[in-house]
Amino acid sequence: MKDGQITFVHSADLHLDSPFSGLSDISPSLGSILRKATFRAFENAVSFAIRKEADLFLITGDIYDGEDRSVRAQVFFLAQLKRLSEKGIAVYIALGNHDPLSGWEADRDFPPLVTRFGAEVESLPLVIGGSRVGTVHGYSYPYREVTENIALRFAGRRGEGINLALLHCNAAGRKGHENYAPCSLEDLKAARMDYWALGHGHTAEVLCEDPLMVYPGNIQGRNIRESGKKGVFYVTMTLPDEKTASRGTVEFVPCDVVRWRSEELSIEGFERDEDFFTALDDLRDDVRREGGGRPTLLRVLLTGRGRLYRLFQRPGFLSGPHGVKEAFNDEEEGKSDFVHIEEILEKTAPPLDLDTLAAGDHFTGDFLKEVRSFLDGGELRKKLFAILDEKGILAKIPAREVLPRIEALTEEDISFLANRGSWSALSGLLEGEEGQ
Amino acid sequence: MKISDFYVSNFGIFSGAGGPLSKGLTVFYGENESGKTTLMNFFRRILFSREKRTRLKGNPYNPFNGSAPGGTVRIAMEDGREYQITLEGGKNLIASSEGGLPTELPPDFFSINRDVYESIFAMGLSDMQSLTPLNSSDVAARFFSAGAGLGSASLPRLLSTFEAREKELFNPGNGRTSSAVKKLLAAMDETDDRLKEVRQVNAGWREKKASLKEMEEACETKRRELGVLKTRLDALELLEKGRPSWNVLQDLFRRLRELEGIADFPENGLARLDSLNREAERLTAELAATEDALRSEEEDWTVREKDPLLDCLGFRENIEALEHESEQFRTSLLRKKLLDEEIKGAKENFNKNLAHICSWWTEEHLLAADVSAEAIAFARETARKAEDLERKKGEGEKSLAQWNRLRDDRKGEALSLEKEMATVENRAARATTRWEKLNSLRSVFSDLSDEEEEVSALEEAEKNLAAEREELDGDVPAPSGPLIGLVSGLLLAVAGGAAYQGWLTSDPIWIFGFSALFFASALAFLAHRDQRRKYDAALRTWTKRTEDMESRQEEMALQLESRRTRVERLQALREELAGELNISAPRFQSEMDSLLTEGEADNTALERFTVLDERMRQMGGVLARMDSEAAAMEAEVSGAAAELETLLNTWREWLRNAGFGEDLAPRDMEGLVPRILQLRSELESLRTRTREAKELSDYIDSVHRRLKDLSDCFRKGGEPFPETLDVGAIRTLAVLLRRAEESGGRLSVQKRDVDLLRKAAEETREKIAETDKAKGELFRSAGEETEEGFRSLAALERERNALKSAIQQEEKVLLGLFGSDDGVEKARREFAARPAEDVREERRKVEENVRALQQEMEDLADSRGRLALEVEQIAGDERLSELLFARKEMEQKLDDHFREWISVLLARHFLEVSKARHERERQPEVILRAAEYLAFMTDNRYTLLSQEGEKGLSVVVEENEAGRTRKDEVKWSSGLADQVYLSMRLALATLWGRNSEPLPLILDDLLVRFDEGRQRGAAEAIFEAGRHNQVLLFTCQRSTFDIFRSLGEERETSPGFLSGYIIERGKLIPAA
Repeated sequence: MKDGQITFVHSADLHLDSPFSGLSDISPSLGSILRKATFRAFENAVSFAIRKEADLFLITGDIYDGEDRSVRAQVFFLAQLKRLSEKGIAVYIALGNHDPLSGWEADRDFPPLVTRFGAEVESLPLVIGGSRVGTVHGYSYPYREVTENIALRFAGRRGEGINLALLHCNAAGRKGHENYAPCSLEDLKAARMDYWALGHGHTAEVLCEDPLMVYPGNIQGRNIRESGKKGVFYVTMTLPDEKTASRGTVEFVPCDVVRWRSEELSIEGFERDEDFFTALDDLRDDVRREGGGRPTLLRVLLTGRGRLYRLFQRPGFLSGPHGVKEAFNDEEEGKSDFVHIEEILEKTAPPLDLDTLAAGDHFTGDFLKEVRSFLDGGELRKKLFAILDEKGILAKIPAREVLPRIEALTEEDISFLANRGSWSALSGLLEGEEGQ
Repeated sequence: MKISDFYVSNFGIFSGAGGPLSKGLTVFYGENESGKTTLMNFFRRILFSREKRTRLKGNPYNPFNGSAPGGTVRIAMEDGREYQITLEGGKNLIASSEGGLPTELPPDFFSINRDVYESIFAMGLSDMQSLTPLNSSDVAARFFSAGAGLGSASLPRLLSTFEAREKELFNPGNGRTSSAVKKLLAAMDETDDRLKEVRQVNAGWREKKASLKEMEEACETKRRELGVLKTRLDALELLEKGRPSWNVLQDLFRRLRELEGIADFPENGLARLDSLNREAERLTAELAATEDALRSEEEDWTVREKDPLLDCLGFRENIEALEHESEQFRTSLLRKKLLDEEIKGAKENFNKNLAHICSWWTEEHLLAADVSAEAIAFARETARKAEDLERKKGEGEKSLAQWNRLRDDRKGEALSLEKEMATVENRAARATTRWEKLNSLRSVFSDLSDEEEEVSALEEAEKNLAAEREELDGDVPAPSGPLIGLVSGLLLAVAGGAAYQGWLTSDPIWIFGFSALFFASALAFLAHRDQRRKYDAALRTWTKRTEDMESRQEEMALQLESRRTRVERLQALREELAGELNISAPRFQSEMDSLLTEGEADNTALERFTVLDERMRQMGGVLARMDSEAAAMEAEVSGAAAELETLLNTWREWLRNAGFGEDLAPRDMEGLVPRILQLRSELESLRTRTREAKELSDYIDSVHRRLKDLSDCFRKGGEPFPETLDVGAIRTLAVLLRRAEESGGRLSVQKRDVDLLRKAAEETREKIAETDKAKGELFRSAGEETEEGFRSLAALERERNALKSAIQQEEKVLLGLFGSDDGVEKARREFAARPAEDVREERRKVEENVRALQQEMEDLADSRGRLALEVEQIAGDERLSELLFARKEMEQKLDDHFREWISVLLARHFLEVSKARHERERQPEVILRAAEYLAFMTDNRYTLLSQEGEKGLSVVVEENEAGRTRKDEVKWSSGLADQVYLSMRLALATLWGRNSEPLPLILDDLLVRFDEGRQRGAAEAIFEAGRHNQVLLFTCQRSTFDIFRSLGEERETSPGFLSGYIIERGKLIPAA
């Protein structure tokens, strides 16, 4: 604490030791880097707090990834808490849906300066440098599925000095996350806290400036949906007095070890194979430069209509053994700032006038009409199920793993798959054999 | 779309050719290599831009003149729009005929790409050939692919590829095959099992950690217990170790008590006694030594006093004088030795040099020889003269030898010339004879050739004459008699008839009869007279020509006979000459020419002989001149030798008179004089040194005498003296003198020492008496009178002190064992209270307890270590993370496979549904159109039908005759298969254009494999196709061209429907 200000690091959603998804056929060395990524990211956050001599370190839930909290992760976490405690940095932890109090714990021996909130909202005095400067409030999930609006329980608990609140919740109806402890911004504001340290949303976001309501997002992206910079917020807050309320500033600090990115590459205007390879190389250089020395996992979305479409239809050209992806990734092997292609998503189209072809009184025309009749009018999943049923396949599909995937397909997914298949067939029809 | 006209400005062989095209069918006829294929490719190229990826490195259609390809076509679309497409450089530009800037022709301007166009609208012989053998599924496949606007696509193959991929990815319900999805599911199951295991291991970690803590606490308790036991054990061990010391101490105290009551002994009494005893012994020994030394010195002095060397001191002056001269004496000896060697060497050199000048010369000859200036001048003059004469003689001999070598060479040359001449002369003679004969042969050959030509000409003329004669014989004028008789008979018959008729009827006919008879008779007369005259004239002419001919024939025969005789004679002569020349007789001019060339070559021998003869003559003159020159040179050499001999005789005479050896050369005289003078100088020097040696020898002898006198004197005194009286002898004398002086000095010193020794012995005796007195006082102080009593008392005192020291020692041991006085005191009490056996028993028990406890602790530590390792391993276990990662990877793969499976499944579904629909709805129309064309081609003999079979659609041919037999592909003849294929292709092409722009068909020599009948049928089908699409047909067969032309005439087509061009080496000629 200096000059009437306190500083702290706010982190959430560490998901320690949780796997990366969307990757396949990765090399052992890359696998090793990725398996350690969540650990290294949290270590970076702790080191940052120590370097900045922060007063507090707040963690708002989802330290582990559910049932798969390994002993290794827990031991590591306690070691990091010990580092903070040894430097006199108090740690406050509010648990979330992935690591509720009911979850399995390998070790409960927290270092002395660490406080973990219980299953009821607790309000504790905030003492820094021997003097009380405010109050810290927090709530830990007793079990996974908490659907109650917990924010309401914080109302009327404001204590003296600066008031910080820790809660893992879905504030203002964030999409893409389970709706646990749902609450509105008004609910949060009603509690009259100076800083709401929130967790659950995996994207860094300042929901409100006054009072500050902050989602730091998860600390390390683990799939393509968690693209971009990941880290913690470094917060500086003035202590309130009788006349002025507390004011704060937030600074986002990237801590991630590997970064996910998704980039689109249009093949329109590409005449030769070399045009594509050159564009891919340029993209790699741009991504590497923007990564600033940090490794990147890149998804390339190929779009556009062009003659290179046929090239991509060759079996294994993009993603097969010795294909573009493998060759690209092999070149990056061993580099500290590697750019690893996670997937090449091919959404290109052949350079054909499909409308004219579809209007023709010939086989291709008939084929395209058939495809269009499938795609038109929606209800694609129903149609897909009908086709599977008609072919006698549906009943034979195993209920485990596979059938749920069919059920999970969106209309957009099916449309994409139908188009991809039909283009491949069209390519075969026009070229002689598929992919030739 | 139809091409209305075209112009090829630059394309391959074509440069500025073009013309209009008919709307229906245009036939291009050209021989191979005329540019037919080039033109065909021009049309393909101008309608569709060349794709960049297919650009060839060397374009075969680059214009021959090196410029860029270029040309133009004007096209009319179905909707009436007109365009002009220009090929300019590598680009296709299109502009509307109504105006506007040309733009680049889009690749899909005609709604299809180049590949589709090539596969549908352009077909050639290779396409036909590639289709054999056909089978039902292929027919269907090609039909569909072509129907889709495809090249070689095979729908069944496409479907089977999709099916295979689908099954490879996922094959639900089929337990036998292992699809990618199935494999992944199995792998996921396995991973889940392993995950379960790892999670179980993780779950046990907390319990293990608690157990570990308990173990650590138990360990601590036991460690404390062990500490207590070990402390007691240490105490017991000390007690046991201290007990012997305690026992000894008790005994020491008892003995000390026994020695109480003994008188005091003077302090250090025994040491003082020993010291006094040692002093007395030392003084007694010292006295004895002094007395011995005194005796020895006195004896030595007596001996020394009698040394004979002391006599030397009397020759001091003589010896010192010799010592003073010793350096001079040594130098003289060395100089004398060197001088002797020098004289000896110089003498030898001198004698050797003298012998070199003249072997028999003595010193006197040397000193008497004449070495005056006159003598030297005489010798110099003689030497110069002799050298001149010798050089003259040597040069003459050398020149003579060279001249003789040259002369020998020339003689050898002349000899070889003679040999060659003899050879060449023979060859020349033979060549001359042969050449003459060859010339004769040439003359004969020439004559013979002329004669033979003449004979040939005569024979030809004779043949001509014979032919003329035959012609003349056939030309014999026919006699006019029969004609006259015939005419007269006819006239008589007519006249007779008329007379009879007139007699019977008396009508005007008769009048006509009479008139006719009259004119006939007149005509017959006139004709007969003219005929007769002509016959006579002709007969005369013929007879004269016959005679003339005969005389010419006779003359010709005679002439021919004569010529033949001459030819035979010349031939005989030719054979004879050839025989003489030993060659086969030449028959042709080329052989004769070759012989003459050879003969001319032989003439070179004659030419060579002439050249050699001339050279031989020249060589004779040269040799004669050389002989006379050699004789003159020999005379000159002999003169010089005689003059030299005279000169040398004069010189030898002078040598004898001047005292020199006769063999001295005049030129050596001048070199000898300095050597003589040098030798004379050396002789003088030798004599000087001999004198010096004599003087030195005298001095050395005098020194020797003085030395001898002194040596004799010393030898008499018994001193060793060297035999050689050199410098060493002087040194020996000096040494003896020094020794004599030293001996004298030592004698006086020794006398002084003897006096001192006597005084020291007296002083020692006094000290011994004092020591005895001190000992008596010491005994009295201890109350003893004798040394024995004094020593007994000292022994008792020593024992008491030893006991006290031992007690102190043991007390230190106990203090060391028990650490402090309290400890020792405590131990003493324990020693007193407990017997040793008790302590020993207790110690044994404690030891057992310690061992048991230690074993327990080791076991505990081992278990703890194992548990700690386990806990640590779990804490660092990455397997969970690895398995979760692996499972996520599998899920991703499963997702990829599954999505691809859906994609392929849908694609296959669409293809199958489309196929069924196409077969059901569309295909018959195409088949119907193809059947129409087949009917044209087969003169309505066959029709084409589609048939559903197990493998899908197939095409069969049905006979239109009674029975309507169906033939599937295996029964088709090769020609019929070609017809089916062509009809299908034409049907597809014409139907393709139904809903889009109908494009021109480009057909390349399609009919070449058909026989004549089928060619006409195919032509009719193509004619028919031309009604739907513009057809450009290229052929290299004139018959094909003619078939179309006759077909056009038969069908009476409109003027614009059929046209033709003949292509000749890049030129286009419109066909009539």
